[in-house]
Amino acid sequence: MEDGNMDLQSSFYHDGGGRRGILGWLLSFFSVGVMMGLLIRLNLLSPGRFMGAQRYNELFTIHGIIMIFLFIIPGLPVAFGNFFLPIMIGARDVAFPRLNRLSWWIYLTGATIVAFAIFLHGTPPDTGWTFYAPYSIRVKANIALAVLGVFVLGFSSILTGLNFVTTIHRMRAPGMTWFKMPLFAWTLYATGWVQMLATPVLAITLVFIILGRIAGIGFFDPTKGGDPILYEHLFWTYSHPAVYIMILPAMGVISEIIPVFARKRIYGYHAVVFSALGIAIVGYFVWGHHMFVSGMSNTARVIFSFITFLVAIPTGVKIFNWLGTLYKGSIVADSPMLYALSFLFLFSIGGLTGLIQGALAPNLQLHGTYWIVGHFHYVMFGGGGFAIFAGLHYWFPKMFGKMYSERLAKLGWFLLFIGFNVLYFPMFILGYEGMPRRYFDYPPRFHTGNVISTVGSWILAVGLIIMFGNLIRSLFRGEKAPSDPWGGRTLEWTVPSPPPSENFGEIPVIGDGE
Amino acid sequence: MEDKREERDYGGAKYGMWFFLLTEILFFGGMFLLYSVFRYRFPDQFHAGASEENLVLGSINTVLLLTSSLFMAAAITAVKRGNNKLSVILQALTVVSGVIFLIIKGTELSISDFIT
Repeated sequence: MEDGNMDLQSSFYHDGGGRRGILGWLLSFFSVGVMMGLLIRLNLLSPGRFMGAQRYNELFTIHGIIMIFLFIIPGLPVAFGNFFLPIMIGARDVAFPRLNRLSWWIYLTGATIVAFAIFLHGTPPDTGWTFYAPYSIRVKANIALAVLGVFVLGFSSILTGLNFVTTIHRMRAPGMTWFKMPLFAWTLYATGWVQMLATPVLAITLVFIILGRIAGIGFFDPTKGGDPILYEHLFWTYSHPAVYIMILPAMGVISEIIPVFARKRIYGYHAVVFSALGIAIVGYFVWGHHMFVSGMSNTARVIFSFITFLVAIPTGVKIFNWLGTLYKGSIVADSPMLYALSFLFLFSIGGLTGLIQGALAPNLQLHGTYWIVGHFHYVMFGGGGFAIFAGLHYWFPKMFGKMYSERLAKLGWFLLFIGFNVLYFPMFILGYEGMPRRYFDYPPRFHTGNVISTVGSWILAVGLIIMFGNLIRSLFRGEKAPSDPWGGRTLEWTVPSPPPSENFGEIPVIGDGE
Repeated sequence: MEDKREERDYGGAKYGMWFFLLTEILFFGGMFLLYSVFRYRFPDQFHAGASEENLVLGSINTVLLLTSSLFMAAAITAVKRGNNKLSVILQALTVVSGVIFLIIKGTELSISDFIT
């Protein structure tokens, strides 16, 4: 940027250092979360040999907090949305660049507070990432700090959503009509609304956990006439839509990648758009399925179960559209595509198992078992996580201007995919047979399944090391990336790699063709 | 290079502000929901609790709250009419009323046995 004084105005995200640095931060948090996950699996290989029960409870709690609030929720919107949303709609930046910078600092503040909760004097949080009352109000661990951290992270998320929605309303280039927008932009739009409408509910709920601990307000404490079920309702009113905050942008990334590597236009563009909006809307009304066994009237159970089945329809529409795009396409199996195809496979398993546990009768058997752990890892890691890796391999050349080794990327993908299934698939069987989740120990009959799963975690870890190693190596040794290495047709591929500050010399005008 | 960013998008800023207010409604809406649920369940206890409140401090705070909003609204009008100096004074008054509000709140809480 020639004139330095503009920097103060808006430009943390303009000079690429900032907007690329964010990706580094997020992946670092992810790595910490992975290590904790590996330790959890290590304990289950031989319970009690490597750690005590208390340490185990702390590990799975912090693993959840880091992976959900510090990695998957901000992952695609913050790391990739900030970078690509403005380019994709032909804008120089988001609508509120300074607010964007603020939301990033709020995020780091939240992350720091969570770190304090873990390392400060006292016991790290051990409630599970859900902070269920009344345990979270009574237990002597650093809950108030951890909850405050999550509260702060929530505001970062709200501001990001607000910024993206406004950007899409106001900043589209001339000719970039709503239905010419790339699908990643559309899913960020739907996500932005969910962030704005759901996150405040979590925020206020968490405030009352803190007030419950500090000021003795008993809203969720049964000894004071409070109601723990009310906490669950408010918590899941946010946290189920949060699942869609994680998965909608992932669907957007997949909708970008599949047409490029199938050398076809997306099949049923409008259907993909409206199904994204449909998921965002219907997803707001399904939270009760987390609480079928917590105490709820039969009428409520039937309604929540029914709406849960409804949300599968727009998701099925998307899967159908992606498969339709692949049909008779000229498919190129480069690494971004391999990750995208894995997403289709893993997310379908995650989604369909979700329907099984969303039905009332099976839910009684499956609730609170390893089945659930298997299910949400297939959705969040197999779906959200693999989409982040797909996006990472797809956009890496654009963001950093360097090509990575395709051979190593494929090897990393292969180990990751195999390791993932070996790690999480046995959980469905263990859960179906009745192994409860969150338990430190298990009876001998569950041993084999746990050994297989732990071995899977090691294969997965090797895959991740190869994947990250390959990308980091290419930062230093990689060949220079051309502006459009994959034959992409969205606007980000029309600018050099990496994009100049302000993205475009001249704001593009979008014609009738693409 | 011509600087496009100097053209401020006031329409966009309004979108942002309305969206923010929407999130605030949901935030405080959650609190009012909790309050209503418990007030409905325990009407007598809420009534008894209210009788222990300090009427004078509570009234002063209500007045302060409304006045500070008035100051802020007036500050915006002042800016619109080009009187920046008056606007700064009015905004300062808003902040001062906010601080006094918090001091009174603190006093209220410390003389009751609210914090256990």
